[in-house]
Amino acid sequence: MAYAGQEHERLQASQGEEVVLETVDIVKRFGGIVALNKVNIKLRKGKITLLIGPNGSGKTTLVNVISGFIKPDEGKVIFKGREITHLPPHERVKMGLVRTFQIPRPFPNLTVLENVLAAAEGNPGENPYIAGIYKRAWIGYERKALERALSILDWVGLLAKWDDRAGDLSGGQLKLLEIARAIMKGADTIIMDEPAAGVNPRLVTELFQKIIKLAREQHVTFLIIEHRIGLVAKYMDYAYAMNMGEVIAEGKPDEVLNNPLVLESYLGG
Amino acid sequence: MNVEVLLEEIISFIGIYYILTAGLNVKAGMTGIPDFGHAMFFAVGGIVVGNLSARIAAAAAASQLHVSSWQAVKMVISNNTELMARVNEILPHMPGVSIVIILVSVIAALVLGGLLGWLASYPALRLRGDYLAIMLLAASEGTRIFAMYYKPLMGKTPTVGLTVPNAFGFTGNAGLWSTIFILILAILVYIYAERFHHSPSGRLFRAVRDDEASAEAIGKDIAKVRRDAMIIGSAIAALAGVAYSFSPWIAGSSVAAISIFDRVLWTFWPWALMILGGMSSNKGAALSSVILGALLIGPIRIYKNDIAAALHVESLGIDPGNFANALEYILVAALIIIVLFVKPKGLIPEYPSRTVSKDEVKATIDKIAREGAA
Repeated sequence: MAYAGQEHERLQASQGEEVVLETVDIVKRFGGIVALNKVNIKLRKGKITLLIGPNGSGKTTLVNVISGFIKPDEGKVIFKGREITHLPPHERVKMGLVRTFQIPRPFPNLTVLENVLAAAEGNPGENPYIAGIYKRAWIGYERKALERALSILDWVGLLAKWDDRAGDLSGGQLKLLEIARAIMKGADTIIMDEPAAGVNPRLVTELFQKIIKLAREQHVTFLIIEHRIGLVAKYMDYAYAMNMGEVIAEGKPDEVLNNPLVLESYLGG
Repeated sequence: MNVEVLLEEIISFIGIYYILTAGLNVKAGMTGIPDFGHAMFFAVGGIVVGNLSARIAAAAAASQLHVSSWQAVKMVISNNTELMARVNEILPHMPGVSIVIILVSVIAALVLGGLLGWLASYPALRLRGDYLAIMLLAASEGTRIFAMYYKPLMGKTPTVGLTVPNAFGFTGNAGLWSTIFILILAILVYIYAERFHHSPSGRLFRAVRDDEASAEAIGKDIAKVRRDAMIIGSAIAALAGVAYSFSPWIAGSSVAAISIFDRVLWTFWPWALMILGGMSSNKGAALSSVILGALLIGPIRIYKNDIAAALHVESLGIDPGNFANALEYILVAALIIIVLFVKPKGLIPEYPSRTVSKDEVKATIDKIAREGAA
């Protein structure tokens, strides 16, 4: 793989293969339909893991289970050595596990800057009983958050848009905004549901360069669901393929993509 | 009509409605809780003044009435009209007690309004949209009926209610000073609401309104946000109830459950003002209160019969008297329709929460650019 230079391999060796997030035999049924059937996946620190599969294979359900938006019927989700199966989403976020949505969900009536600032963790100004009365309690924190938010916006390339309504951004810019919010959040594990969907190819390349940079330099762990496999496979470290609620293949992305079972699941629908 | 009285009525109308709308704006505009039971929280202020503060006044005046304090307090309910008529003769000679009554009313309304908002927030955590709106409307109506017939709360006669203590009598010009009091309250609420809007909490409330799932995904406790919005918005609404009870409109007469729980006056009007001014826009709420207050209490009320006559509504088969009385609703309906066509987001559309000024943000951007270049 082109990106995997010696520098990267050395880094890989020094970090080992620490598992950050793990699902153990996750089962989720919707009525009579088994959406997830004993799904086991592992995310390793600083790696970008790809999750592929045809429509209805259970990818988004798995993301919802990992991020806490739905509860599994059986099985466990383990994050940083702690079982989080029953934690509400906001508690998981505090531990550093952040997700983005298939369709970007910004706060449309807030500005781009407000969207990023809102993601700051532990802002004393978010205590509504002091916020309007005692500005000194939060202005120091807020100024630091502002500098960080603007640097992050600069990094994702949205700085010029800081005072625009988020609802007026394009699809691709919204994906960048979601990444900006996740970084602002201090996330070390980011789950992205179809980040390239609806984004023009040039912006997809830019987006994935940012993701790789975060993974390589900041050791942020990624799980990425993607349909446009051809565009993104070259950026990935590891891949899982799902079909009918089960993991049918895993390994190096090119191996998984050429696995006969995977090809069949896509062609057979 | 006496100009001074007219001005007092206009200013107190604007003040009361601005405070009430500002409270609703925290709940409905900023946080997206469709509170159709806003009148219930306004009524808390009326009950505080008519019930709690009247008892303090009665206890203070008891020795001059030759009864024990305890008896006087009990008579606030059992013999309200006669007792309070005498208390209100004595109270103007007790400025200290009067001021205590005003302060206690304000504080008690904030606390009790917040408490009722906290109670009402429990269904607000479970219900959404239309269901929540109807639940809050029903809760407000239920509380009104309870208050009408529960004597220890609103007295023996539901339509008469409780006489309010004449707490501004000591100033010698109750109309003027109660207007100043309302104006001060309204200005304080305005300053607070602006500061709140331009704080991280204001931003958080608006974020939760925009997208709850997204707010949850970045670690926000949306249940807490909804609860806090109900508490703060309802406490402000109760303050409007206190302002109303001391206002020149009441002028020492009585507050009754049928008037302070009125869903047209205290739920519909603030909603109309909020929509006119702009949802989640504190400046808009203030502007629409000023415009409507000045129009309704000024020219509309004074000239409504002339307007009806000039329009020859009787030729359409409409009774001019009925038309004149409905004129304020016709005007507001027309205003809402026009404003929503011309400016769909209200007179002053929602503005960002500027926790730091725009100039400071720009300066910080320049600083980052310099550091990046260096």
